[in-house]
Amino acid sequence: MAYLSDGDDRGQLILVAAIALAVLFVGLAVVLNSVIYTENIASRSSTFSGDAGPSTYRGEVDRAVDGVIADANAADANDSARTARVAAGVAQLDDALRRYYAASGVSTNVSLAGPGTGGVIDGTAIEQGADAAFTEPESGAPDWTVARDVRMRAFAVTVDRDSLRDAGDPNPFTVVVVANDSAAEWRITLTRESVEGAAMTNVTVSSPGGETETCVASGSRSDVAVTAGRVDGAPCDALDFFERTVGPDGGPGTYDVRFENATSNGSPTADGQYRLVVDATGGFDANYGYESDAVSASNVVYGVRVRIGYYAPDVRYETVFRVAPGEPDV
Amino acid sequence: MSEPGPRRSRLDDRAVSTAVGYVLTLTITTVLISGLLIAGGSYVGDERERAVRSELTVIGQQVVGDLGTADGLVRASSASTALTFDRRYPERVAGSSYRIEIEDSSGADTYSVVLSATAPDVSVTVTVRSETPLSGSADGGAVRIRFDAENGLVISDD
Repeated sequence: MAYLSDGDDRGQLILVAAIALAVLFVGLAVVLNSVIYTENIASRSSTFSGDAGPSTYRGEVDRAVDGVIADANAADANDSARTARVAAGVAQLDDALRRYYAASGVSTNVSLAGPGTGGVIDGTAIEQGADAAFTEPESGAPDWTVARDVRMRAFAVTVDRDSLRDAGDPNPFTVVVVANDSAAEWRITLTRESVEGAAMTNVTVSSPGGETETCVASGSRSDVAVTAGRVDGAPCDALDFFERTVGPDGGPGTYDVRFENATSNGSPTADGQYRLVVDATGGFDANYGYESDAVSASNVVYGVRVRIGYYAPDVRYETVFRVAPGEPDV
Repeated sequence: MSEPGPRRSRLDDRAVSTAVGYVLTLTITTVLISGLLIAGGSYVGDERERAVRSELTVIGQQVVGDLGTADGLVRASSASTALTFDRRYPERVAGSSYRIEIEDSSGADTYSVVLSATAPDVSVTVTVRSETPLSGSADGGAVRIRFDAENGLVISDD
């Protein structure tokens, strides 16, 4: 054993192997660590301000401008005063939101789009404020067009149930909505029906494809909110027919609204009120003869186009969008 | 030792068991240790590949989430929208750099976000639906998502 006499040289193979294994395990530890890190970032919510920031800001502006429009329409009958009120409201909103967002290091701005007050879209509120038949205000014609080639918002019809025709009547009162770009036509008929002794109002919608769907209301007066898709406040899927169409100016598509069979066999098929706001001005008096006591057509602000900017360290967002409270939500 | 003669000549063969035993020990030790190293090495290699795959999946889903947020913002806006997201994804996954690419998928409005790492060679595809067209590619790390009306949402290196 002479050549093995030096004990310091023994076990080198084991030593080298042990070091190699140790390195291997360190490598494994690093890999497992990175897996744990990955699972950590996978499960924690993002700290990225783009996730919620710009869309929250946009939503806040949207809701606040709704209020500004409602306030201006309620406060001023005069066109220029109304527009000035909207402009002042938007400027105030800009100031308030700017201060609020500055606290979290985000710079924001909101202003009316277009030069001066060009972002204010003027419209007309057409309203029959007292119960009457849904006939043409001056001639009393039973079939007539309320508004043509318009966008509309806050369109609601309130009817007295007892004035409606029974279900199955060949000529019930009908509200017709026609999409201008596709010529698709939806017919909303209002009838009454007695179900197990209880009188009900049927709101039946026939779609262009030929299907019909019905929503039922039990009150003695029924509020049919066409653009909001609700009957007496409850959601009605049948009315949810407004499509996401794009008009020539990048806004939503336009529609015609007609009333049909407002009278049948000489007597009204429905008594009630209606109100809608359309994005057209003028011309109504001349075209449709709204100078009657029962139906009024007054100038209001239909909507507003606003320009917003949102600037955070990792997000830059600028856009122009329109706010029209009660426009079909598509 | 009363019998000399032929037995004497076999004296050379004596005392070899120590040496043989030693060589055997070394050989077996070497074989065992190399087996251990090879098995351990491939285990670590497998784990690494799995780690890279799961990290790429997570990053892919983050990219898809950001593209979805951007698509939502663009869709809710007019064509005159300007939108820039500066995002920081991990620069490396388990020590390997990677690349993010967006490819057109066969379905309508469907795109594939392909993340590929170089070593180990792993690639992960996450599909995303977007009404805004998507395109572009970027290396892992700082990535910019930008909208322009012509190309839609484009990702690029920041």
